[in-house]
Amino acid sequence: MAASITVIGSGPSGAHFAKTLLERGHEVTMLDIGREPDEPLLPDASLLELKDRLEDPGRYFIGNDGSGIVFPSEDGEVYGFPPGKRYIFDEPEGFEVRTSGFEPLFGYARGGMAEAWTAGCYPYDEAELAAIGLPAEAMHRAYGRIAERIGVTGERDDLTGFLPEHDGLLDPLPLDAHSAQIMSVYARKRARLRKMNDGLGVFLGRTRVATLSRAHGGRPACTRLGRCLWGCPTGALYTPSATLDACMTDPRFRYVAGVRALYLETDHDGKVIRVHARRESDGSAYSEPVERVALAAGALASTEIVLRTLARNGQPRPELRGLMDNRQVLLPFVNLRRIGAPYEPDSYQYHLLGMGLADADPTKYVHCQVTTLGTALMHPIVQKLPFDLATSWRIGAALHGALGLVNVNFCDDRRETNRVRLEGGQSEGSGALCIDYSPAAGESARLTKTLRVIRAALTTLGCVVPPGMAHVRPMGASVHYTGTLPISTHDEPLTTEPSGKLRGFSNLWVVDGASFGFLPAKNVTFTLMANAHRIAESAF
Amino acid sequence: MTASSHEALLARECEVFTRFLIGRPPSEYVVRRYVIGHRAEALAATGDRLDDAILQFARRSPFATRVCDAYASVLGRRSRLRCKLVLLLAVLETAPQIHRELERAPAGVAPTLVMLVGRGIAAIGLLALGAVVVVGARLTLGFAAARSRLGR
Ligand SMILES: Cc1cc2nc3c(=O)[nH]c(=O)nc-3n(C[C@H](O)[C@H](O)[C@H](O)COP(=O)(O)OP(=O)(O)OC[C@H]3O[C@@H](n4cnc5c(N)ncnc54)[C@H](O)[C@@H]3O)c2cc1C
Ligand code: SF4
Repeated sequence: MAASITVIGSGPSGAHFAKTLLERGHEVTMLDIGREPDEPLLPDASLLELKDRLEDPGRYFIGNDGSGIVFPSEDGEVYGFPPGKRYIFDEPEGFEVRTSGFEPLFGYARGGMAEAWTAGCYPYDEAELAAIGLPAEAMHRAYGRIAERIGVTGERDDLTGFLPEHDGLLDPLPLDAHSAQIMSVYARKRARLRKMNDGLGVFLGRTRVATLSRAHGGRPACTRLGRCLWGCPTGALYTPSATLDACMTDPRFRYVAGVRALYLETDHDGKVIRVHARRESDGSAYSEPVERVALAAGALASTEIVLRTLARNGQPRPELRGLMDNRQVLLPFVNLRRIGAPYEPDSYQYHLLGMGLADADPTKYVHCQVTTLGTALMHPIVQKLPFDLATSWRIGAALHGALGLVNVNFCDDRRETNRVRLEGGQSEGSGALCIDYSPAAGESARLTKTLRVIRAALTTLGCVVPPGMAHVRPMGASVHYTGTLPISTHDEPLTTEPSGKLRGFSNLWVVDGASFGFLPAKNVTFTLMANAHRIAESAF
Repeated sequence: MTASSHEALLARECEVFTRFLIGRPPSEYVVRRYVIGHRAEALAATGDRLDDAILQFARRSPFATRVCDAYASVLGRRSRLRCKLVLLLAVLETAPQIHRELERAPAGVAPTLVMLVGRGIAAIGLLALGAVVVVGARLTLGFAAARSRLGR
């Protein structure tokens, strides 16, 4: 029988949950903040052409407020934030968040934060899924279905041991010359790399990305415009707004944008009967009656909605524990064999290679994305050199074709100390959202040891990490938020049943990362989409 | 300072700094962008007296900028001078045509290595000179502060 479901949020979780529900004949209403970007400028122009052809390229690349510039105070970041993507993250009026040990981002875009993502799509293996509390077989099928929907490119190679194969993989994107050179050295040094990392091995291969190597689902193949960071103008790089566009063509889909859900009104049996929200345009109240509700506002925003609901139901200082995020470390490197080689301006801008560090405990696997720096702006990198900027620039330009970046990701687990709570907690939207986070004991030693292994692996590949250039990003920066309403097979309050249903409510489902009981090192979003699909298939 | 005299000061500064970075004066577009770029939060903060003194000295000529920046690159990475130069670099690397000039680099391994070594040696000399200038500025500022404390 067709059900009527209200979904809060249109990010990867919400968009794929809604799409599957529609495919199964249900009626879907989506409530979303859902801000929209400007139309892409000169969609056929490459990045270099944009610099020449735009009337005011500075406005596009660095913004009037300089938001696209990495100033010396923002130690260690390698990419400035494209002004054209600010609309996703600019916080709404009156939103108050207090943090300790955590620097969160909240996404308010139609399509969620993945409108700005780098499209890395990594399936988890059985051990990782079990640690989260997800059923392996159903998830394996769901990965295949999502890959077919969005187009994931990749290859069977040495990383396949960590990135299980699934249906729907397209051929990989062509490698740029720098990435190809690294892979050819790897082919020769493979045996040596296998002995590293306490004999557990360092492995290299292709990353999996939702960027098309051939036309698929109405989207074109990547034409190497090199504009990925500023927003792919052709749609070759998947973003969830494409799935939302597909939902929009279904008459059973109703999309209500411009509203921020605050709390859920429940009856005495714990049934959600109404969603209360605020209009973004004028701050006025908005509410809708509901039959069934799915939280897909992103783990932190969904947590906030639950906290405000608990506050409204009389809980004085509600809090949820177990917040997780991946620690990320950026390691810029110079490939010595590429010194003097030209860089390729017309190439894919994000990672094409991945590096994996095995661990005796498979859930402790360390995942790295390896990016060669093509069209990235160079001022963030050259300012780190210990020379005057004219000299640093010349050196940077001479080494441009040899520069790369390893983005190292570590897993995280749920700890009671890491919590989200409401202070002055009013359900109506006032009061601050407070986030406290402290890293696991022994993190620093683990980072040091792992980075030593990665540096050694890079040296074997002919690359060096200049001293002082490694940057440990603050917690919150990887934006893989999870863990506050974890899946559990035990009947404990405010945990999520494996079916996605939140305990304590009779008609509320959690379809974003809030329900994850563990956070593997591999970027989470592919699993968010697959899990949302799985819940939509099995629960409705 | 009025808004227009502040803009004129920034335009003059932009001229000197652009000559330092790329060896020729800026286009009108670059100046305009440099002025707009001062809306950035990172440039809103005012510096301490030493920071101001370094900036003032750097404005004198492209060579003075180079000397001061050589010092700042090691011992004043977050100074106002450095922030302004990073802003200008970002403007230049996104400006029409200029970005292509900026990307020009010697082709091949040997010329690149020769260039790297040459620039590295020159930079060490500049750093030493920069340190002398800044220590001088520190002493002068300290002396002036002491005099004003004594009411002279
Ligand atoms: C720069 C960047 C690069 C990234 N790269 C990768 C990558 O390569 N691979 C990867 O796996 N992940 C990546 N991520 C992370 C990825 O974007 C997130 O994991 C993902 O977007 C989370 O999806 P979500 O749908 O759960 O939540 P979100 O994307 O946060 O979407 C939330 C949605 O809910 C709406 N919303 C929020 N609050 C409310 C409310 N109160 N009421 C109504 N609507 C609301 C928003 O408008 C939005 O539509 C990246 C993130 C960033 C910022
Ligand atoms: S994915 Fe990147 S390189 Fe490919 S077409 Fe889009 S912007 Fe260009």
